[in-house]
Amino acid sequence: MAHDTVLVEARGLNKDFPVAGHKGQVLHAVSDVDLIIYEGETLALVGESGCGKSTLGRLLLGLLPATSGTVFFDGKDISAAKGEDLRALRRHMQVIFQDPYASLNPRMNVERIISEPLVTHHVYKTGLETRQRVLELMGEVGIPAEFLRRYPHQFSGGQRQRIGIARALALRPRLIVCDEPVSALDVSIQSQVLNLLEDLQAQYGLTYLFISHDLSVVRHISDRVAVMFLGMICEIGDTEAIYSRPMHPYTRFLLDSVPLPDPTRRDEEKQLLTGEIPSPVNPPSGCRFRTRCPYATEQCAKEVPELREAEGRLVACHRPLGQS
Amino acid sequence: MKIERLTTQFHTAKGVTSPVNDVSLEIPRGAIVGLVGESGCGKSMTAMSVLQLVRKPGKITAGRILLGGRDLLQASPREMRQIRGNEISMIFQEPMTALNPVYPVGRQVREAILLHQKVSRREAEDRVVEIFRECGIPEPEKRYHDYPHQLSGGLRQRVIIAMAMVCRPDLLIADEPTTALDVTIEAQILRLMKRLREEQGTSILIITHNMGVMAQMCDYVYVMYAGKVMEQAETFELFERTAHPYTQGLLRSIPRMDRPAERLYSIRGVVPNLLHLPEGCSFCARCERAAEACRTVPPELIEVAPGHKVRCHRCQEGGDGHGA
Repeated sequence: MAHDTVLVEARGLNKDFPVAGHKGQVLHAVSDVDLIIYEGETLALVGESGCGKSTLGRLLLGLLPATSGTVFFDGKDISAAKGEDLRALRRHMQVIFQDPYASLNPRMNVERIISEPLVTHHVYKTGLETRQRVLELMGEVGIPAEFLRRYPHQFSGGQRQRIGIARALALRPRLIVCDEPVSALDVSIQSQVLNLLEDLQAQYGLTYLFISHDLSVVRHISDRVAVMFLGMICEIGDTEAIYSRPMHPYTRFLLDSVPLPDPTRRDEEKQLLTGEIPSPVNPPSGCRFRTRCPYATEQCAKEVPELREAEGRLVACHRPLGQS
Repeated sequence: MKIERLTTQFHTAKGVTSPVNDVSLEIPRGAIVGLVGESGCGKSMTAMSVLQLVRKPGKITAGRILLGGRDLLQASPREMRQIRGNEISMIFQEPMTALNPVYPVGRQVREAILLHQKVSRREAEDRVVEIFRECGIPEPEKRYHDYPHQLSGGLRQRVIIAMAMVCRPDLLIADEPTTALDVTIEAQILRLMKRLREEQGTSILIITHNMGVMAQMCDYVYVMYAGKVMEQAETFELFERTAHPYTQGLLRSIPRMDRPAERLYSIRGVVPNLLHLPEGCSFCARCERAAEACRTVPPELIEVAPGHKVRCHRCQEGGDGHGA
C-alpha cells in the first residue's frame, strides 16, 4: 500500500526540560527533529529508555509544548491552535499508553471510561446513543457487552489494554499514538493485541505512531521506522530496508543486541555496544553517538551529522556502514 | 540441585491454590537451566520456594529440594540463612528495589561477604572492588561509594549480580534478570552471566518469559503453565521438536525479527484462575487440539524422546504432535 498523504509533519522540533536543582542547566530531550507521518501508515519510533521517543510522541500530539519548532497536523499548526480549534484537532489524535493499569481510572466502570471522550466532545445528544456507541466499540475490541458495568480491576491486563483501545477509537481518530502498548503484556496476550491493532488499522485506515523499545514487535508492526538516540533521529526509513541493512552504527548495534528466539543462532562473536548512554544534559559534541561508536573520527566530534538520503532511507552519520 | 515433586500451596479464604504443583527439576553443575512461562504460571514462586522465601499464607506442602545431597526443606531457618546468599543466591528483576537506597552500593556488597565469610573488612572491600571489575563496572573504586540512585539501571543490575556472585555461590537464581533493561544492556548482562558460568562453573537457573533469552542462554528448559511443568527438553530439542501445544503457541505468537510473518498466531483465551482449574489438562480450554480426555483426565509428564518430557494426552498417543 502506498502511503503518500502527509498527516503529521514536524519541523525543527526541540524540547528542553529544566534540570531540578541546577539552575540554568537543561536536559535536551528532543533535538532538531524533522519527521513526517503519512496517512494510513505505521511509523515506529524505537530507541532505548531516555532517548526521547515518548517525549517526541507527546510533542506530536500537542500534549507538551515544544521549546521550538512546529508540528502540523493535516496542514494545521497545532502549536498555534487554541480553544475550540485545538479541541477539534484533538478529536483526530488519540493515545494508547503502556500501562493499562495506570491509564484507566479505577473508580470508573467500562461504560464511563469509554464514553468519556464521547461526552467531552458532545458527540451524541442522548445517553442511549452514547451507550450504543460504547457497546459497538466494546464489540470491536472484543470485550463482551455484559462487562459494561465492570471496573478496571476486574479485568486482565490484556482486556484492560483493549478497553484503552476502545476509548482511543471512540472519536474515530485519524492518528493513534501507541506508547509501548504491548510491553506490559504476556506473550500470548501481546499477539492478540497486536493483531487487533492491525485489524483496526485495516478497517478504519488508521495511522499509528508506534513507540516501542521492542525491536521484534516493531519489525512486525511497522511500515517505516525511526531510530532515536539521545533525542535525535539517527536513521529513518522503510522498516524492511533498515532491518535487513542498517546503515547507522547505532541501529546495527541495537539490532544485534536482540536475543533471537533461535538456539542455532548463538553468536558469541557479535560485537556488543559498550559503555553507558551519555547524559542528555551534556550531550557529546558533534554526533551524540560518537562516544560509544567504534568508527568515530575527528569529524564526528566536530560536526553534527545531518539526516542524508542513502539507499532508500535517511541516515545521520558521517560514515554510514557500507559506504566508506 | 535437584527439586523433587515440589508443591507450594496458598490457603486463602477463597480456597486452596497450588502455584507450584508437583514440580521436579534438575540443575546440573555448571548448567544454565531456564524456567519459562507467562505471569502467574508459578515460575517465580518456584524460585521463592527453593530459597524458602514464600510468604504466608503460602506454604511448601510437599517435595524435596536437594543441594549436594542435603534436603534444604529439612534445614533450620538458621542454616537456610547461611545457605542463602552463600551457596544459593538470587537476582531479582527490579534492580532499584533490591538495593538499599541509603547505603553506598559497595558497602552493601561488603556486608554480603562479612555475613557469610570470616574475612576482615579490608579484605572484604578488596573483594568488592575485584568483583565489581569482573562484572564490568567501570571505575570500581569510585563506584564503591556511590548510592544506588547515582547509577544507571544497567550498572545497578551489575551491582546486584556482583552481590549475588561475590560469595561464589553454587547456584545463581536469576528472576527476569534483564526484563527491566534496554536491549544493549541486556546483551551485556547476558554475556556477563555466561562468562561467570564458564569461569566459575556456577549453575544458573534463569526465570524468564523471553523466548529469545531462553534460546540464547539455556542448556535445558522447563515450560510452566498454571503451576505445572508442561514440557521440558534440551533447548535445541525444544525448539526443533516442540511438542506441547502451549509451547508451540508461545513460540508461534512472538513476533520474530529473523522470520517476519504476515500475521501473528495467538493463543485464544486467557490464563485460567488457579482457584478454578479445569478437571483435566489446565491448558485444555485454550488448546486447539483438546479432545474429550483432555477435559476430564489430568495428563502425566511423560518422556517422548530422551530427555524430552511432555504433559499432554495428544502428544503421547502415537506422537502426532511430535515434530509439528
